[in-house]
Amino acid sequence: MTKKLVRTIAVPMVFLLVSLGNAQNPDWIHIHGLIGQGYLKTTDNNYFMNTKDGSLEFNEIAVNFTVRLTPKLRGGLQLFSRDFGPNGNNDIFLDWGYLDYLWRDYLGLRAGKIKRPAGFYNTVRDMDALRTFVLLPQGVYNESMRDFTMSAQGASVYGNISLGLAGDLEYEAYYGVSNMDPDLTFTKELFLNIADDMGKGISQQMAATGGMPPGSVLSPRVVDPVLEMEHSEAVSVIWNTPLDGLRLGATRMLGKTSQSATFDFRLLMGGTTLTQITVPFESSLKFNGLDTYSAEYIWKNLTLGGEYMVTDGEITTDGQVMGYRKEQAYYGQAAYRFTKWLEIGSYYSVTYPDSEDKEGDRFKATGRPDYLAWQKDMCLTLRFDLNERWLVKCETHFMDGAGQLSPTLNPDGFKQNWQLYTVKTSIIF
Amino acid sequence: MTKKSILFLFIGVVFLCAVHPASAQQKVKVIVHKDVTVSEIDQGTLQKIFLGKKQLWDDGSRIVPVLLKESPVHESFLNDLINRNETQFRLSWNRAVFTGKAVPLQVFDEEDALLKYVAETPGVIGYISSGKAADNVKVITVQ
Repeated sequence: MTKKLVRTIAVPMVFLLVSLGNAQNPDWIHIHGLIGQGYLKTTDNNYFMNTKDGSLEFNEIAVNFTVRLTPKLRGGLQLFSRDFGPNGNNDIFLDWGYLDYLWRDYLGLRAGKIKRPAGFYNTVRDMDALRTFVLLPQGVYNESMRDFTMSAQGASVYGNISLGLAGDLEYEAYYGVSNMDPDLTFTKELFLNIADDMGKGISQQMAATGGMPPGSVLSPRVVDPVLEMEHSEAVSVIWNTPLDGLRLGATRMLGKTSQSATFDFRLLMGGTTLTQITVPFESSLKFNGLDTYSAEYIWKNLTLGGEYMVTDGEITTDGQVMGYRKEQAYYGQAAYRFTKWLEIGSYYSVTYPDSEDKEGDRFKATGRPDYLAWQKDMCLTLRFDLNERWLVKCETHFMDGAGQLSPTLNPDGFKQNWQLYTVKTSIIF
Repeated sequence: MTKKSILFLFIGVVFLCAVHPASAQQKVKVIVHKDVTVSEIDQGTLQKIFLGKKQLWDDGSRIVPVLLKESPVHESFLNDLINRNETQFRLSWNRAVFTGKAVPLQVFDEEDALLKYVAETPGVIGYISSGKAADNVKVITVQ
């Protein structure tokens, strides 16, 4: 799907944009890109990928083309490729590609595949060269939610409204749709968890009716999983306050995903299939609100910031509400640029995957460790700008908790206290 | 490596590097193409223009901000008038470029080349050192 999209839309668009730009003025075409390669290593737990052994499956490549068609109309697109453990695998996809018409500073329109505003950093979350830290605070910028929040096919209105002595207000509101990659770790684990829960119910029923001989096991298989963002809409507002360098922001994102698959359960005994049960499945997840509140203050070489995010999701099957997804996360950060080549930064991030069980009581009640209920991250970063285009970063994370760790990547369980180290180099051209 | 030793290493690097380069204090003057109707501008509006938040002049025509390459004049302009250091400024534009929200600003190696471009191109706003003669362009006052 992705490769087809790139072939059928992105490549012709590149030629069209370059041709249009050449026809008008060669200075109006802009081609830029970045390349980054990193290394991740953790102690005790695997994070995103097999990091206990160290991993180089951590890179990104972006190339963008922009052309000004008229003084108020621009067109452009960005081709992107990333590898992040089992996700991405350096497939090329269209990151964004849209036409942008600015009528007045207070009113513009974008249409095409657009980046979704969410917090101050969502639109650049894949490109760490554009910020201080290698990894954004994972509570607010949860990697598993990346595809829900990155970009969508649709349209947005945006602008900057002057408030006189009260500063100015930037806004953007969008509506769009998108498809999720069925090969993502998040998507696979979502369907495997559903199949696991469903399999337990079927096993109990079969055992109760004598249909499950001793020694037999029920093995699930997921067929044709589809995860689709049926619609998504968001409003983002940023107030650039009269205090120079201070900006405050708020984003509300709403949306609905639908997921469907066929679960194929086989009752196995000694490698022989005794019976096979096929169950079609459909459900939806409605986001009643994915809200982010942001603040940033830049004073000379010092940057201070913080964000608070809360989600309110509703899981529905056959029209019945089956559960809720309520997350809460926040962080505070500080960064100071000492010289042109050195910046040092730090943040402290707290994440609760279930905001109604911050102490882990529900985990304890089922015999599991309470630290599955949170993940707290103390991060220290050194950013070396070797020149305008080339940079290197070294980063350490001291972690408490396993609230965002993957059970698939950690089949032997989790440790509460662990560390993450990363080194990354990038060039921008 | 223990948590304590990493913290000590971190603090050590901070002290080793806590020497600021001498900041340039050279003053600049802001210039525009002669057809731009503005003759004075407040610092907040100048910041919005050079941070990409104001893209159109009041008559609806496009504002085209241009830069000098890294130099004392450029540093003085960013530090004194835009209130950003060079890296903050560059990152801010890179974020806009890599999300499709802007195209990069044109950068000139020499003041003469920038002056010529401002003189010949409608809508352009730039800056030169205060001692430089501003022929064929309009100098605007920053309040």
